[in-house]
Amino acid sequence: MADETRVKNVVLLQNIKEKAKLCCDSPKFANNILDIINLAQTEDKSVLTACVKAFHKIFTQFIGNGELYTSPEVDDESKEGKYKIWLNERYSDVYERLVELLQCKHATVKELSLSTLMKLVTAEGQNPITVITAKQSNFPIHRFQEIMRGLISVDYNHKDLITRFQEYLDYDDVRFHVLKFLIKDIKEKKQQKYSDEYLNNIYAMLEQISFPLIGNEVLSNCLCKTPDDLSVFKVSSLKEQKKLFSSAWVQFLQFKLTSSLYRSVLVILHDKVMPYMTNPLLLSDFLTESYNVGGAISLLALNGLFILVHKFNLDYPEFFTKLYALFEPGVFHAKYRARFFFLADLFLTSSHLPAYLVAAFAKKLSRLCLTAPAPGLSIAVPFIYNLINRHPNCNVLIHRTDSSTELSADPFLMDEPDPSKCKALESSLWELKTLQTHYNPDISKMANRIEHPLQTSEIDLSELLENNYHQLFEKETRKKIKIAPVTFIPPKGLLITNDDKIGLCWTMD
Amino acid sequence: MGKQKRRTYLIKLSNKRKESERKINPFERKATLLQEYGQRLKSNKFVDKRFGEHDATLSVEDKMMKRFALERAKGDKVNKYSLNDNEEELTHYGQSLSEIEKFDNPDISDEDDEDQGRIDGKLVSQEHFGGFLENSNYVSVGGGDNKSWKERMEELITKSKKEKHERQMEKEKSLQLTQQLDDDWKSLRFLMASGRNKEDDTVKPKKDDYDIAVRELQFEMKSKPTDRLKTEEELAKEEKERLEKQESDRLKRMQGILEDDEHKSTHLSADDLNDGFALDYKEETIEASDGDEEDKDQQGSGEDEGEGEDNDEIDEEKEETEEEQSEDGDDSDDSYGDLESEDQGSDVEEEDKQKPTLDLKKKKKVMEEARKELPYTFKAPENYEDLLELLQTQTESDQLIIIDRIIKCHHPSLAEGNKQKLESLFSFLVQYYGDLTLQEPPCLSLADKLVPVLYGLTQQSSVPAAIAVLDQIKDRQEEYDTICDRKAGRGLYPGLDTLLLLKLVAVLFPTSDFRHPVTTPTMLFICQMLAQTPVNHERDVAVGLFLCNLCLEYIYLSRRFVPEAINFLHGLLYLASKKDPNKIEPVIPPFKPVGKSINLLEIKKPVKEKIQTQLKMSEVLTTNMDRDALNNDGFRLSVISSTVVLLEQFSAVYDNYPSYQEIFSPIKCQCGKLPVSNYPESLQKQIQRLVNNITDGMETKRKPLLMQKKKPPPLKMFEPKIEEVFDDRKKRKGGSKEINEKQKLVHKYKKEMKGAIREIRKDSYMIAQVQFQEQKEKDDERKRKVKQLYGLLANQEGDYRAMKRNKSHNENKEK
Repeated sequence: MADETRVKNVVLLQNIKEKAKLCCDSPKFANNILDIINLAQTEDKSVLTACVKAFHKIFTQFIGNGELYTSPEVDDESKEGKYKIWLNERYSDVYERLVELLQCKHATVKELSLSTLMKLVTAEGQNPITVITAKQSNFPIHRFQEIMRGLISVDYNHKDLITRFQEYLDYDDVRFHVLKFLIKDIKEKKQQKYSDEYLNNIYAMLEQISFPLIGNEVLSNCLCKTPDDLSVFKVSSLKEQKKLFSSAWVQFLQFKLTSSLYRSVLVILHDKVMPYMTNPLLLSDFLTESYNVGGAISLLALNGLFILVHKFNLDYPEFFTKLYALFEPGVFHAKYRARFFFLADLFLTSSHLPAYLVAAFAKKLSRLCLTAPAPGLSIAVPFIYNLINRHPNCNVLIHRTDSSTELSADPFLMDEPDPSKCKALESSLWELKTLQTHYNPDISKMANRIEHPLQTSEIDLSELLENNYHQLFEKETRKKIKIAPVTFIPPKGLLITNDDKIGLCWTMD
Repeated sequence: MGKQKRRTYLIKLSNKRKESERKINPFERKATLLQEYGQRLKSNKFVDKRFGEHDATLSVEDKMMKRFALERAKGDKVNKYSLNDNEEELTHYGQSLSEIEKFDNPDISDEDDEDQGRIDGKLVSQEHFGGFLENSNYVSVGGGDNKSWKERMEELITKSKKEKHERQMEKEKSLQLTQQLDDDWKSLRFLMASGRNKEDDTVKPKKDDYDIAVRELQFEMKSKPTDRLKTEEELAKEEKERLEKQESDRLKRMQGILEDDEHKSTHLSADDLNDGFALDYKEETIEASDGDEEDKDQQGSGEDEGEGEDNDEIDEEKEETEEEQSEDGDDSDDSYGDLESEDQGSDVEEEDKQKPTLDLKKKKKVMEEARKELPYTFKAPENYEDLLELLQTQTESDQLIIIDRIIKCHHPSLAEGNKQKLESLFSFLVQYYGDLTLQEPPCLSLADKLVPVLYGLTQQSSVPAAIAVLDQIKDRQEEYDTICDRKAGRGLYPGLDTLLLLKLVAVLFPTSDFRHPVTTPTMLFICQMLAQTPVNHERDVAVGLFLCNLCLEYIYLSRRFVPEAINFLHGLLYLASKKDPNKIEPVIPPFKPVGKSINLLEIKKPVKEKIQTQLKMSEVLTTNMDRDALNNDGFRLSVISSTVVLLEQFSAVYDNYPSYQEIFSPIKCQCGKLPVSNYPESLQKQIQRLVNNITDGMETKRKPLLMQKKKPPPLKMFEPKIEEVFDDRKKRKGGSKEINEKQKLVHKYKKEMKGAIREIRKDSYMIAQVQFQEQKEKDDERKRKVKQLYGLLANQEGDYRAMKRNKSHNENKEK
């Protein structure tokens, strides 16, 4: 039974191949196209693949021959004219079917049809099938928009397909038309209902878009034939493209994003989007909003905001107060810990910051250290040390000579959100003193540094930022063991030792 | 600048020294060169070869003594084999008579050449030197010159032939005697080494390999005088001292002193003579501690030997060595080798020995009966499967006995390679220990009993043991990490084997060290689990609690701070507390402010039943345990109670922290939120006590931080740079070793050349001076003589003139 179908299949595939070949050879067999279109209505993977290949073969040849070319001069009534019109109609059918196939469940078929579609676009670009004026490019805009509509689907997540599509995005005209389509589409969809899949698809497409690194104002890497005079050609203007890119992003960010999408957007924003925008300040609304959300989102928004403040003179009131609020116990456990500390270090680098502010940060961070895991501490303690090192006024935190009275409690107010009112400068970093007894020898040593006069050079944080437990563990186990002291009181059993504490709560039963 | 100066000074200094060495003393020169110079025209000279004649250091008496001794020694050489050396020696003309008699002693030359040589010697002695002694002898013996030369020759020949025969006889006899001695000795030797070589006895004689026997003798354990056995009190005292020393070491390691000092290079003062008398106390401590390490090792092995005493396999050997010891002791006692007394001594010894061996044998019999089914010796397992095969079928106690026997059979002192075998055995046992806890149900009792065994092995070879345990920990950590990577940084609590391995680390290695190759990473691993594992169900709670408990044990002595454990315990209290549904409380990961599991430990109804304070490992910690079985108030109460107990302990340990208040105030706050009214009374009291403790602890006042006062650094002073071998030139850096060496040699050659030229110049200068002096003396002499002659002549002339004048005067007068 199974054999039979397989044999059938093989015969069928052979058939399709032959038909395509015959069709290519002479227009007599043009009706073969109809057969293949009919066959392509199945769900069978191998048949579909064969059909798509056949389509590719037939139509690239026809486009190359110019058989599809219709000009207004051609008489509709003539035999030739009728044939051409009929052929064009079939071409549209095939195109429609191929776009449908982008939704297909077989990944290979999907990819194959996408590449076939793009090859057809390329072929059309070289040999247009309609009349094109000299000023226009050969780019088949309408056909291409159909492809895009299929790709940026509302119902399916096409992330993998779009990733494959990336190779075409290197062509300047493709990029241009994709952006144009996206802007138009987003505007349309905003009125209607949209799905998460749709957003994901748009994001995937936008994420792929990048611009050539070499700053050339005139872009000339096109998939299709371009008009001779590039200067008036919109597609080849980098500025124009960037404008489109910015507006596409701004439009996109007005959607209500899911939290995971939100995060991934924030992650790429600062190095994949902002450099290509005509005016990154357009993002400031989005970023400030995100910064006010709190938690991990705020952490991520920090980076973009920083670029805006730093390079584009964004005036951001109470930036440091908000940064201060971000210092909470969860910071040490967040996934983006390294990035946060990197940025926080960057913000606090300036030596023009007031002492109260730096002291507040140092004190709050050191308070957080009391609940921090070891890898977090291995960043935080040098961080605090650097802060004090940079701002000599904060030396009082570790070396207070003016008052010798004993205090009953720490004057620092942990819950005060305003760094100027938290009385950090009246306090001392007893937390670091406590951390001198931390179980990890490196952290303990680091905390011990406050006992001695400050060193002139700062501690380089960049190596510590990515620290995690595994690295700390590796560091301890890497060295070859030369001496291993052992206990000296012989045990009688697992729990019958001198200083056993497990016995407090456990029995060996 | 200063350096330059110092260098030039050094060069000068060294030049001085060198020159004084090289320069020949002018007096010396006079003694040697001048002598030669004076003798240059002489054709022969007198050489004084008397002993010590040229040695100025010897006094005359010493010289005489030495000469006498030498003379005696010369005589002794000849008399080496003389048995009756005490007899007075007769001499004639300074030559000993015995020597003359023995002149024809055949001992000296080879057999082959001897005939000719002997006769020749005789002839020579008779004919050439006239041999007044021999002659006179012959005169007295033979009775005159009657015999002709021929007769005498014949007589000589017969005599020498006879002597040759006698010598041969004697040789054979001595050969026979040595043979006999060997045989006797062999029988004696087997008596001596009766125990161990019994099996060998049957083999050895067949082989009859004398070399082997000699070698064996050479390598036989030499006995040493043993110390007297110590009394119990002394032993106790020693043990106490040992423990005290270990404890002080531990404290040092806890503060990380050693580690810090190793890196520091201390500045040496210029006055430091580097003789160890400086106040360099740090170095001393290092040395002391090193010594301690060794001590520890020795003690470790000492203990092992102690353990070996009740071991039957080693007993035999021990006896043997003791016997040997006693006999050797006897030998050394009567060094004069009186045979009889030795025999007596050994008899007595044997009688003494008899009793204990019998006793031991009895004991052995009993033991044998008890362990009839087990063989005595086991091969050390080559891999883990071997060990499993060996142990699997046995009962628990038998397994322990087998392991014990393997260890004792392979004591490092017994054979080479045993140490490695035991080391691999250790790693297998650690693995076995882990696997035991994974059984269904876990064999915790056997695992428990394995601990002392593992401890013993760790004491023997600490570093390999540490490596083995650390490897296990590394594997577990890697496993945990891979789970974390898969689940976005969230882990899963490991099985009971890992948990008990972590506990084993604490038993085998000191947890209080500032940095320890095994315990520090282990601690990191524990904390990683506490920080990264989400708490979803009862087992997670239990395992977390166990790990917190381990943390407490790890830091109990050193009082170090473990934020992860405190966080976790705080989280447990959070799970047990009543929550306000409208408010999200800030909790520290791994706990979440919202979710299914946040009420995991909350007691909703009042419970009166008694709390089971101790949790059972096998019930609670195994991976495949029944979660529903723990879903009851009893378990929850036990957990809460344990949490409170642990917090109390932590609070006591962290008592002196300046941030005590900040650490424990969240705990206190959380305690206030517990539904205490639902708890049994005992638990209520416990919680109250904890809260009181914390409140008490919070009242301690704190001082503002101050940096340590820095000691003013000592003024750095230049000290003389002392080079052991000074080459008199700058050390050139770079260049290969060969080139350097070559340059050195060239330099040395030049230096020596210059020195030699200088010396020659000085020699010639001196000789020139001497010659000049001689010349001058000669000239002076000549001048003096000429002057004398002139004077003489002048006188003569004067006289002659006077005479002439007188004559003319007289003539004038006459005229």
